[in-house]
Amino acid sequence: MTTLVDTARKPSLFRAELTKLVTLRSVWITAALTWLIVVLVGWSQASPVGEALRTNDPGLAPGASPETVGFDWVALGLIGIIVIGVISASSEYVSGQLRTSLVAAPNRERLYVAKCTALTVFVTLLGLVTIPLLSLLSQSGLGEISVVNGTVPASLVLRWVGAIAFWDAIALIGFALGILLKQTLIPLFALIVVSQLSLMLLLLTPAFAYLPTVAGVLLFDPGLVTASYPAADLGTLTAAIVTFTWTAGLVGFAGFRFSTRDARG
Amino acid sequence: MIEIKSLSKKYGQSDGIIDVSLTAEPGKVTAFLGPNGAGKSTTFRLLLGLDRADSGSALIEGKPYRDLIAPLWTVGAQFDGSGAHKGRTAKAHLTWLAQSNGIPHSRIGEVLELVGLSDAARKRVGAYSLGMGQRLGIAAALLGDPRIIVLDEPTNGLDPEGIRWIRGLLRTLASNGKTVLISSHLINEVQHVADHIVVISGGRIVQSGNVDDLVAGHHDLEAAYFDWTGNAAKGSAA
Repeated sequence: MTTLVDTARKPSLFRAELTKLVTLRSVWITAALTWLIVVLVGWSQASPVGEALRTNDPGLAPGASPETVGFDWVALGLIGIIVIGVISASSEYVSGQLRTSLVAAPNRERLYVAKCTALTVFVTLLGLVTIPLLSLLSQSGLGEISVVNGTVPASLVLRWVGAIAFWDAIALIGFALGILLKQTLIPLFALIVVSQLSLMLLLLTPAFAYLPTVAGVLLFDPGLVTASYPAADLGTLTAAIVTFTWTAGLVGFAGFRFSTRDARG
Repeated sequence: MIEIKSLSKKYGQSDGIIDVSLTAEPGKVTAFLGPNGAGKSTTFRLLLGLDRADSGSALIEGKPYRDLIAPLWTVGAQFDGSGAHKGRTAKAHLTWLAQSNGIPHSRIGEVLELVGLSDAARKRVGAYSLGMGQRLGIAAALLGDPRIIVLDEPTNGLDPEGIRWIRGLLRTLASNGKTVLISSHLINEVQHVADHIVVISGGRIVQSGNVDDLVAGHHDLEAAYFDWTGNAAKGSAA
């Protein structure tokens, strides 16, 4: 007779955490809205922005170029990414969910790594179906000045990679803050405010270029920052190190707290 | 087999539990009886590695819970309520639990049927009644067909039919050789179902033993219980 143990499969915390993410209605609705809004706005703006670029319209955003057209909408999608990151953490602190998670996976370090990995995979996939599409739709409005002429230049692909990495980093930072504060509202509010005001903060001092929400933008569209704030030009390598350091630092600290504190959630 | 030895835990200024010891054996229902706030849930939290003890040990088949790999095959645990996010369906909740421990997907339908939630499997947990949430928590505990079952106040929110059902379930599990440890503050409930009782009051164990032995010399378990917990309260006040 076959027993339940005979039919056992390989345990996978990663799969479990991915299932948790996609079965939360708030997460997939946010993901769908992020995709829809970014793509729709990018598509609707493709022709007017293309026309403005062709005619050197003075009303065009500073630093706009044919290759970076559409990338300013990555920041619009960032709000959705912050929501996904924060909710993926704070949902554990609702209805005794954390107790269930820790009873199923008592090795907290492994559970935490699985959570981070699942979130990164989810946001990367969302980025892959959003950012290249946004960029290509925006290029379609440029006509003869489009940088996509049969082939996609490697420099544009690198910008896509940078933008997706930026989304991943901010989602993980939102996740880390959600774990540290064990709630949704404060980390959500703080991150959205910082992300939307960070360029304005550069008016006070270029030191704000070291915020992840500014350094991350330098990974894919430096002109968006440096055209107005030349002193904020950190260079791609430094920007990548700054973004990584913020992300790794906050994720690491939150992981330490997650694995050592009592699970009162 | 569950072995808890001299377990103590303080939360800030609150007493938590002090020097708690108990054993739950296979084939028996062991009930952890005490008033609200006596330390029952704290003891369970320490047993399941959710909180760290200040001193003492809590072992499951000779190991701390945190050392168990894929623990749902060994221990099924349920705290008050479903333990599921209100935005998920019961099926989604049990799916991630099964994946995390390598339990076959087919088992989900079996446990949902066992607890009488098959028809509500695709409903969001937020729409469940208290009793349905309790049944889902029990379904999760039984998912890996574990040798040890730990249930915190399993009759909470259940209607009379549900209470009767849980009694039957606990007795069946014990008669199948499983170790069953439950907590309760309901004296009559415990008397109906338990083989062995451990009474806790004010964070300390005040009595433990077989039901018949403990009741001997008292009118019934309720009279005995108030005798023990009353004495404990006087003792701690002295």
